[in-house]
Amino acid sequence: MAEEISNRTLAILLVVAIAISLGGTIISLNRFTQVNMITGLAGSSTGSARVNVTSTASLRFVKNATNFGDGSVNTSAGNQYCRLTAEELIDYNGTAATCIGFNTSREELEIENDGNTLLNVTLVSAKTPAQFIGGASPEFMWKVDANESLVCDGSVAPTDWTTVSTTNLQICPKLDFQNGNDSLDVHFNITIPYNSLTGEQTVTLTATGTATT
Amino acid sequence: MDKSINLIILNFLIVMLLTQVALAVSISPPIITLDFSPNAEYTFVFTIDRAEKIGSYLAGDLAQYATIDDPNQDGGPRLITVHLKLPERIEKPGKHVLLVGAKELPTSPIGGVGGVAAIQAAIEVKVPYPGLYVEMELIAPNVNLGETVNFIVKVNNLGTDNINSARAVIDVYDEYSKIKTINTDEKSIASKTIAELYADMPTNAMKAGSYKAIATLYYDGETKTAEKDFNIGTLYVAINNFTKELEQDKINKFDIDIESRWNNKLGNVYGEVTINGVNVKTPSYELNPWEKKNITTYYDTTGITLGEYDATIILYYEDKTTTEGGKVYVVEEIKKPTSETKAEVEKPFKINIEITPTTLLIAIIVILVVVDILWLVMRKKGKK
Repeated sequence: MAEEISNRTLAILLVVAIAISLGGTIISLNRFTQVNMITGLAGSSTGSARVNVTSTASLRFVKNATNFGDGSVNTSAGNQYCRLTAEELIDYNGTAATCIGFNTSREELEIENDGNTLLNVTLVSAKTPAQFIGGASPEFMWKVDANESLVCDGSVAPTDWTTVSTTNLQICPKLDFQNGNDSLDVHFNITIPYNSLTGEQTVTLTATGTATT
Repeated sequence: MDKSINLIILNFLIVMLLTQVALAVSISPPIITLDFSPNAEYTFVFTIDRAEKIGSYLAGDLAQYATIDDPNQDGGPRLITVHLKLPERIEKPGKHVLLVGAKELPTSPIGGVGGVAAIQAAIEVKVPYPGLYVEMELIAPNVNLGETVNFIVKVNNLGTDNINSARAVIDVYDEYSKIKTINTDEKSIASKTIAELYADMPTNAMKAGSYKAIATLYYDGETKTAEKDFNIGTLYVAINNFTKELEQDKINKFDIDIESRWNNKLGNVYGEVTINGVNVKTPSYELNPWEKKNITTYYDTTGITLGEYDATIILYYEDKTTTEGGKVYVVEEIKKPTSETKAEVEKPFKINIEITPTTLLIAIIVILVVVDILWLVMRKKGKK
């Protein structure tokens, strides 16, 4: 009958096994980075390739939703309206918040020309402020700014808070397509009256890019 | 164990809820230009792509003369065919357009304020103007001081008549008066063609700044003008504004608004702020030509008494600096939650583990070690 292996021997074996595993892993990982994974035999020293670059118009919402979450007007503090914007937390009226609840991590929408053609960009809202929010004198406004420099050949508009349009509104006549100069931000400002519509309210904005020269 | 599973599921749901889908839609080719020809018939094939569900449509003043052949309306990426049959005549001369549109259709409901993208290819039909008619554009690129401004006057002859002779005179104005006049070359321009007239302006003897160019086009006894603003740059980055108020006993964000007056990209642009003998630096930034940017650092006002302090901001770029001084005020903490702080409080607990070969191998080794140890312990117990 074979003699049993002692615990000490087993512990040493375990440490050795771990050391070998770790060492092997490090060596393997280092070698992985040095290996050219795809190789081929060069049959001749020259070659030719044909590339057909197609012209494409493409528009993308990099950020396509801003969700204000659940909340209400802080009427117990004497407020009749609550104002939310996509970049500010909650508007304050004196010392009391005009809003209760709502998300704090909202973002503006971002539109990008990701084709290789200049785009005339328009924006339209599917709902008026009354249809989206309801109640007494609701406000649903937007403003647009160039997310990067040299984005638009022509004026970006509106750059001040303006009530949303339910017909196509030009926001940039020629949106550039070069990376770094190709995106616009759309910000929102929403004023909710105490007697607004209740329940989940949604609105869709359509950004249309028309190819231009 | 149950708690861990719940936590994982909760985090997964939070991530799902916060995920924003980047929605896009594309069309190719984007622009087709035609000269009007009575009763002419055309067929065009377009590729619409980049969205799971795409609706196609026609728009523009020529839509009444066109039909669309879409094999899978509201379906995925596909080819669509557009047939255009022009009428006998179009009364109004100029550019008429048929827009071929593709609109992405969201595959899941978008909560709150949501955006969808639409894209339109333009089929432009040019109806010639009777007699002489041109459209012109002046191109005046930004340059740096010492470089030459290459003016281009683009002339589009949209009339039925040929132009025998076209030339332009370009007047350049600074903010006060006319400072230069330059002549372009002279060309003849056939009907329905575009010509470019060129003129160069050296800037050695000029000053950096903003200018306006007005081009007057002379063509067969007629005139027309176009204008364009352009800049002559110098290696200078301006400090337009900076944070004026800091709250006491906290780490404050310090913003500096800067603007490049240089017509090339600038790398390694950073600022140094000195207040009350303490220096803080911003990270290094890149500035595109003429770019305005907000750069940021943080200043700790812990232990600093309320009051007015002198601030010095030095901006470093290339081998130059811009220095701006002013007052900043250390004020009491404003008792209102900021989006950052509230978001911080409400931030869900989340651990991000990226699955890479390294993490996978480490996980395997850890499992082997744990199994080894368990085996040892159990073996020891069994022996006893």
